[in-house]
Amino acid sequence: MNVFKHLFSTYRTVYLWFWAVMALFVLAIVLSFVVFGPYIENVMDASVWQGAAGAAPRWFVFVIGIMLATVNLTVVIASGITRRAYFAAVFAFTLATAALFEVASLAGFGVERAGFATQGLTGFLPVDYPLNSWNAAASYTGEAFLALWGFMLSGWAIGLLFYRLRVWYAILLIPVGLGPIIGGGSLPPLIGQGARIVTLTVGLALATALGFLLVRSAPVRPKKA
Amino acid sequence: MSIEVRDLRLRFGDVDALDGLSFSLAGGKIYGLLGRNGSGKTSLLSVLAAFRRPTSGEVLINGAEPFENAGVVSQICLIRESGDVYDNERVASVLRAGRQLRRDWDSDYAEKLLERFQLSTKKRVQSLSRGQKSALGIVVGLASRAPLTMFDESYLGMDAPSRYAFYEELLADYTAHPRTFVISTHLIEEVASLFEEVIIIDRGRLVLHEESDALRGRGVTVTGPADVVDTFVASLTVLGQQTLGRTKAATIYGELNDTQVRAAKLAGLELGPVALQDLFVHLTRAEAEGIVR
Amino acid sequence: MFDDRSPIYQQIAEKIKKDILYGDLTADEQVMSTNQYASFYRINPATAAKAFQQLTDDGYLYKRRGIGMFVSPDAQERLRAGRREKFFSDVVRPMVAEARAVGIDLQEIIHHLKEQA
Repeated sequence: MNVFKHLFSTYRTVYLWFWAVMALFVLAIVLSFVVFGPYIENVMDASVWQGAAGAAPRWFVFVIGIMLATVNLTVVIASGITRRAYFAAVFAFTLATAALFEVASLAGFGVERAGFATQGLTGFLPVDYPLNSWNAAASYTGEAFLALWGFMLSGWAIGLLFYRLRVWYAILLIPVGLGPIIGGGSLPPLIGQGARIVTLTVGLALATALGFLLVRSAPVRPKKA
Repeated sequence: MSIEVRDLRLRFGDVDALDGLSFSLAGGKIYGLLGRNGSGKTSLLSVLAAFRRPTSGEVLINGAEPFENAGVVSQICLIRESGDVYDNERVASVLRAGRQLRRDWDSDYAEKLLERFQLSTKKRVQSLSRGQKSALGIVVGLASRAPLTMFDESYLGMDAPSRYAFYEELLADYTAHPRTFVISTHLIEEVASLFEEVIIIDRGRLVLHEESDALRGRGVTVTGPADVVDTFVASLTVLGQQTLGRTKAATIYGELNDTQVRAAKLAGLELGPVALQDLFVHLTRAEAEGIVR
Repeated sequence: MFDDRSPIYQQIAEKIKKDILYGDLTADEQVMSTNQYASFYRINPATAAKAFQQLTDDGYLYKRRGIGMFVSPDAQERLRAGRREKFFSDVVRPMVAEARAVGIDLQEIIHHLKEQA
């Protein structure tokens, strides 16, 4: 628990900054509608947030995942924490981050939709807009959550690869850690949601297992001078 | 905390950093770990702190293997020269990490030490000088109040006043909160008086484990005509010898008894003391040449 | 402060004995505690303790539980007696040897000493 708290307090500030920027972004969208009126006529996929929330947070948590491996691992273990406890804390922390980010991203949809509503433009929102129905919300949130969590664990596993192994082995093994990104980022247009969720889950499990194996006996090496 | 090391080996590729090292420490004292650069000091400390798993052999801290043992590692603190802290963060974050992760962390003491070493909590770690980074390591090590605290060449780049501040704080805190300290160094003169016992290692093997104070006066130089010196030291442990013309100086290890001292004087030999640093140099060289084991 | 030619605890013990002999520490006066000594001279407390242990074993100091260590009433007298015995062998004989080596007449020394006294 204390390691989880430590990780949370380490990243709290960057998380806040990240979402502050995202909030500015969504507010700008809403404002543009209030000021300029319905300039998006004849566009079917009018949600800007759907694109933004689907990409930026994922790559952001991917980078945080890398840092969990390359920055936090040595400090945490050198502070008298076992590798197991570090692993458990990373697992819980990535899960909590994914959940938090998902809530924030849903809030963004709420603001965007409210903005559209002021101009009576809700009809321009895509059919699968997460706030159109409870069903859409559930299916979007479930997949987006898995993708966020997966991206983060993927970054972590790849960070560990480079921490633990020689660079060529690490590069060779990257595909094992990339599962969630393949499932969550590249495939969506090509396969159905069911298949995406399966790929995401398998990728997530693979990245977690890879990370666990790499952490289990990781040495705390001195920093390169 | 007691430390037991049995036939410890640590291999890196085809290099034996630790090569069958064995010793045992009762704990509750300040120990000095001495050795030349590359003698295996850092490797040994890394294994003791469960930073690494040994290739073979056994380490027992208070009777238990430390690796992945939460009950043991939470009581160990190893401060390395490289400093295992967040480089990109401020000093305040380093202290916060200590508070959150260290079992016995003392925040008030950490603040006091920062003041003593004139470190600002607002500074970023990477902007600190070499000596300030070392001082930060010392702050973390002492404020951790870990039952087993180890410093690996932790004074690097520190000026004399800061080093003395370190020694004073170490002694004061050890007196107020008795625990086990292991301090590695290759600069002996300055710190030897802090140690109760010393362990000397060379090439990953134990050269000597001895009460620190007893080591003073443990070496004797015998100077005189070469042949007389040779006869006198024949049955003694000779660590090194030098010849100048017909005069020879031999450094022997061990104390001479009264009979030997008298015999030396009768034979016209001059006996002299050996400084600790010289004794250390002789001992590690002798180890390498297989004179003492 | 300390040289590294002989154990520190012996050097401490010698220094305290000298202080007693020269009257810098008087009978029943409290001496510094082990910890004060250790922090003052930056030495391991166990080393300082060993010196004090030796001095109490030899009867030059005595312990008062919970208070500290004190100079034994007869310490100075005993030290004097011991040093007196050794005075001729440790101080006078080397001096005479040195005098002979450099060619100073014994009468000259006696004369010098009388003048000083």
